[in-house]
Amino acid sequence: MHELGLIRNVLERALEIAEAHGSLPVESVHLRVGDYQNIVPELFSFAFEAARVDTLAADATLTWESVPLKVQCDNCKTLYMPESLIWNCLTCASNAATLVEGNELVLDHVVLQEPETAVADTQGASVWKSR
Amino acid sequence: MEIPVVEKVLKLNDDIAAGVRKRLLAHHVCTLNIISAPGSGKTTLLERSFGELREDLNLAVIEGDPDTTLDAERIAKHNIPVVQIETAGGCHLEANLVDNALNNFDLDAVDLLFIENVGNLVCPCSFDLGETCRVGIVSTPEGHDKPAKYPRLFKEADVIILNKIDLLPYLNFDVNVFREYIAQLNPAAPVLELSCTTGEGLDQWIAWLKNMVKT
Ligand SMILES: Nc1nc2c(ncn2[C@@H]2O[C@H](COP(=O)(O)OP(=O)(O)OP(=O)(O)O)[C@@H](O)[C@H]2O)c(=O)[nH]1
Ligand SMILES: [Mg+2]
Ligand SMILES: [Zn+2]
Repeated sequence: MHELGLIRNVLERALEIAEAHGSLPVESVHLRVGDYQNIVPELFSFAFEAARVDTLAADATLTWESVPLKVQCDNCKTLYMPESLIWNCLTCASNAATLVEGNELVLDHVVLQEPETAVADTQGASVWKSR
Repeated sequence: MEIPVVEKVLKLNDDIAAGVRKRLLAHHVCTLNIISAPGSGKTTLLERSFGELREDLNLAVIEGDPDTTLDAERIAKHNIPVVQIETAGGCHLEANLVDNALNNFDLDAVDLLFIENVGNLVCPCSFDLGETCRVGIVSTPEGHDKPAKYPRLFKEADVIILNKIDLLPYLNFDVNVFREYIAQLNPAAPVLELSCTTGEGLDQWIAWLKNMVKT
């Protein structure tokens, strides 16, 4: 259940960025998540939907690219992509290897609504208010 | 408008953990992050270890639990400095909680600090606390398949303890299968079989600890 805490970090960072750009609404948030991270995708989406309410990211979507494991054999240096955390070198059968990819949990980029559309929105809002 | 970020989601925790590690190193404190499922015997193992350790080493304990100060009360009975962190339901400890807890100790008077993490085999693994070593515990009633089902802890632990071996005669726990999983996941990690109830095997654990503090 640590997904909720992780998503709060992600959202906080995205909102900081939105605020630094004139409080433009957040359109989408993009992560890179390595398979080593044990993230349950459903929990991640669910946590995001709960956390974004009443923020600049209230309508934002969350997407992520999952990154498969890639390791290098400590013994013969062969690079291979294991299917689990049990690592067997394809060349020398050694179990000892070092993770080179798949450990990432990275906020890659954030997409903010274009300023023009945001301005139009504000105008719309002010028109509505003046009525 | 796309804003590139490329930043670790756990950056804040990792940065604080790096600070904790530096702080502990400056005071020559060796720190263990103890992770297991609820009830594997983390607190009992600490209680059973104090007697052998306290002559040579100054000890301290941080207890992490979702609720209550029960574990800290158990430790305090042994006259060991202890701080209870109540995570308010949280499933793991984070580095900022440990950083704050350290303010309650005189770190110059601590050689070995035990951090008992919240009972959970998954979530604590993602959060560096600034520890020197990670200890994974499984107890025999949990079954020999735990390393296969929860591989990350066993992959990363510096030492793995199999507790409650006194119960082996009553269970279908296969120690060889358990050891084989660990050998595949983490060939370098020692596996220490012990029983906190009978005391069998505790000597290996104490020896491992003393050796670790020395180096
Ligand atoms: N039979 C047997 N029971 C044990 C052994 N070690 C601990 N226990 C019992 O297991 C139960 C749980 O032990 P704790 O030390 O409280 O476990 P814990 O991991 O600290 O539990 P949480 O802090 O709640 O996650 C207690 O009733 C202990 O007496 C052992 O070696 N053998
Ligand atoms: Mg306990
Ligand atoms: Zn190899």
